[in-house]
Amino acid sequence: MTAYVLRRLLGLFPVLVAAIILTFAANRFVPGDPITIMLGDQGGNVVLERKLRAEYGLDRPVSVQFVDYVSGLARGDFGLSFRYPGVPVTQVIKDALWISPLLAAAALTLAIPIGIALGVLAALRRNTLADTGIILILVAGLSIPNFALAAFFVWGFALKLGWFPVAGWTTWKHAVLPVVILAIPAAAYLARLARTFMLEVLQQDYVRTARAKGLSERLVVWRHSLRNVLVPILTVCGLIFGGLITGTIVVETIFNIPGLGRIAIESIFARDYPVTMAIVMLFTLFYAVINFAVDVLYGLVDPRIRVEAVR
Amino acid sequence: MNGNVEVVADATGARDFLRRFIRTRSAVLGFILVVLAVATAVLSPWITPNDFSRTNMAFIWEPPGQDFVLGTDAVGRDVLSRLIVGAAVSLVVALSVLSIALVVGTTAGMVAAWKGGWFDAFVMRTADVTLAFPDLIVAILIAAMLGPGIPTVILSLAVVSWPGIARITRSLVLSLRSELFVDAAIVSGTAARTILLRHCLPNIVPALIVRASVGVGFVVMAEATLSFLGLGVQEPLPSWGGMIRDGLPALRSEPHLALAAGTALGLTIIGFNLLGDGLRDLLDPRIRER
Amino acid sequence: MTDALSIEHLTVSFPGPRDRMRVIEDVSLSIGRGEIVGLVGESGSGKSVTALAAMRLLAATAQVDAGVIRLQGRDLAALTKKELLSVRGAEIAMIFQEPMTSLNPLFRAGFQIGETLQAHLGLSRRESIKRAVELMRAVGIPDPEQRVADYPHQLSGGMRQRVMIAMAMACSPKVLIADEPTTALDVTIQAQILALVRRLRDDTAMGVLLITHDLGVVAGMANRVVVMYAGLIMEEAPVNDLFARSLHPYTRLLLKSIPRVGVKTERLHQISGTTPPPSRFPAGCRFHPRCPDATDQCRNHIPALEVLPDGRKVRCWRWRETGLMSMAA
Repeated sequence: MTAYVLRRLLGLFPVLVAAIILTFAANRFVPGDPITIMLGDQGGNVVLERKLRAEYGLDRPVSVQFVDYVSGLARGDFGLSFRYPGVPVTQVIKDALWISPLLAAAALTLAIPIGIALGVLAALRRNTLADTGIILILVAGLSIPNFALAAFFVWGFALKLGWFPVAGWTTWKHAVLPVVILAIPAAAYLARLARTFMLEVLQQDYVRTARAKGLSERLVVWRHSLRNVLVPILTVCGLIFGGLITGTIVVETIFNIPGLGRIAIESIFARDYPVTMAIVMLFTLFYAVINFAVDVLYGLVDPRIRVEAVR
Repeated sequence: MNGNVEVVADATGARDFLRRFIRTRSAVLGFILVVLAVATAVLSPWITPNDFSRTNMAFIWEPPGQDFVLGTDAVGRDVLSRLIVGAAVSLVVALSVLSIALVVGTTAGMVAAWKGGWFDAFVMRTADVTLAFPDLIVAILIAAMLGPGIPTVILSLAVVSWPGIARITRSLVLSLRSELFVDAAIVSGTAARTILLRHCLPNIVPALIVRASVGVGFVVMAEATLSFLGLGVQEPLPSWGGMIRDGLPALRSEPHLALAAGTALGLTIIGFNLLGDGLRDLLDPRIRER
Repeated sequence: MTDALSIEHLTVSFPGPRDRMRVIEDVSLSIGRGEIVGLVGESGSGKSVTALAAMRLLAATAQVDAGVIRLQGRDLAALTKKELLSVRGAEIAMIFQEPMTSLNPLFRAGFQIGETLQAHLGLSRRESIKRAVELMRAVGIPDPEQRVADYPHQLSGGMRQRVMIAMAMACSPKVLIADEPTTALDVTIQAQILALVRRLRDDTAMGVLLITHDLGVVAGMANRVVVMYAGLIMEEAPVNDLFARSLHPYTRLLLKSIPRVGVKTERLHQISGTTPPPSRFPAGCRFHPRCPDATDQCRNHIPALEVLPDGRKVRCWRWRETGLMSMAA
């Protein structure tokens, strides 16, 4: 088990290293000179220019800048914003930091039970009308992009029916549509997988043994089949959570939610590279850490990994 | 349970047949939708009723009607024409992405499988790391460096798509390598390149077709997402994602823009996904009924 | 005395490429109390289908077209779902060929054995684990107090099969069906497992249906042997009689293909051809394409199952002429 965990941990490093290098490169090798842009109409002011350049560390050689960058990251310091001169990036993103993960987590909590339930139901009612119906719904859920769904949902539920507010971020009602829209593709993906896994599990020998023991169908499904489905589904959850995190980018833009995603897009258009790169780093980190955590969880849940084989 | 295996292989009961029929029907539906989308794209220069970029401030936000079948947008452009050209734009982008990803991916996969050793490890490591980044994040990275636009979209989506293709190619070539006819070719002194291209490639094509058809839907969706965020196709070129973005603020009183684009987008991607699923069922060899 | 298990004229069909096809036809066999009956045949002969039908474990697409299955006289088809569940696993139990895949990888061995006890005897979790330890001891698993907490992947193949047997024996069944219980095991372990089954039969007087493709296995175990081919019973006889003088050409060929210690052979004798699948049963006697003695009558008409005065059964037109081979030849 420990060997397993260590191996997974080791796998994180190349990704983090790549992320650090790429974001640094993107930050430094951008078109145009950020200082010039920042100075704007104060372009002639050499004193100010030198001061700004020093503040941003842009007067030092690239290698030193890189070291500074990395050590800054270790401290949680992402440097200074270009858009808001002199303001640390951490300040810019501080308040938004918890919003995106919260949305993603809420969507995941919604998607997991619904997705698994739908998938298992379809598998148990295989080849019936219910199964085919569910499959078609799932395809639609996976195929329609979240912003298109948003257009329909907002028009239908918010505008026509008036059940939910259209945009903003003050009451819990504001969170419903974004979370639901985030959850739909995730639930559809989970349901497809759950159905496939359940169908496979139901064919397995140990299910036949359970029936041969005279266990009730309920026990056969709930105890012997479902468990074996949940275990591989768990591995996918990391992937899904990662997708949800990036999904918040779109959803926040649509509903005007002040989360990391919206700030990322704004910063791209404002050419505020440090902020963009900081968010890229954070998202990548989230993604990698979540996947790692899921791997470890999987190791705990599957006894074939947790416990050593033949003594 | 030997007796049962043979029986299952032969079994095609009423229920299984129903399912196969439905599956086929949904694949046919997918095919129809795809054909519709592709035809629209291909025929776009001839079937657009109006110039898609022509603004006309006298006719902003017209509801669907006689002159403009699907209405107009915020600057008076014909929605239907933009929708049609948008199809062409999306598909051209998707095609470009897939071509690049296929060429890069199959080459990398084949060479990695054939050469083995450090090259193989290097290619696979790169693929793994690339896959470790969420696709949208990669797009954002590239957009930040290159600026928004079609090249950004094509590059970032190609970067995200090639690893999967490389992996499939590699594992297929590895398994083909142990086949008799490849051994024969090696022994008779055929050049590696010839073996790969003439013997291996044809055997890989079915799997690649499946992968590509499933991948098109993904690429169209990703491109639309990027365009929606403003990172993709730029004005004046229309794109469905961009049209939804334009249409959202006016959703209350002029929903036609966003909803029309949303429907077109949804149906097209559903079509590609259904077709891809159908092809996969058809081309995948199976012994037991799933 | 009523037989422990009695299968009468069982016919089972599955959906086929065009219409339904009969996988087994008019299969009758009975197992008396304390009797071990060997059901022998190649893969595809329908032996497993027969066994699964007895447990009513066939897939939903399967249909019992005809026949009755009686467990100690009770018609199993007449049971309600609930009654069936209480009978299955408790009065009639089954063990399978692949012990690795037949045990749920996520649960401990003791738990899986105890499950049967909880379900049928209403024991508590703790009590069932205690009983599981005893059962594991009874089937010859060393150190059962430790082993009871093991997961299947921690056990060797032979041990897993013993766990399966313990599971099956938990409620003292009247009938044990063993479907190729030793095929996936090493030769040395095979002998141990078979000895175990024999001992359990001696202790409990349960009836055993031993399904195998290996006549060698049957030789040391069974009281009677039933030979199946292509869904039909071809021959049935007490074990010694079958080996001394088999009446059906298929049985004889099976006997010839057992490698024997001390007898030099040029090459292992193989029966040419393969068992036809249900969708392609030949007309006439189903064995005729592979039978060295086939005549036109064999090719055109299915022989009926003849019951001889001494209780033996044979399904062959020509057994009187050809049935004189001895095993020792």
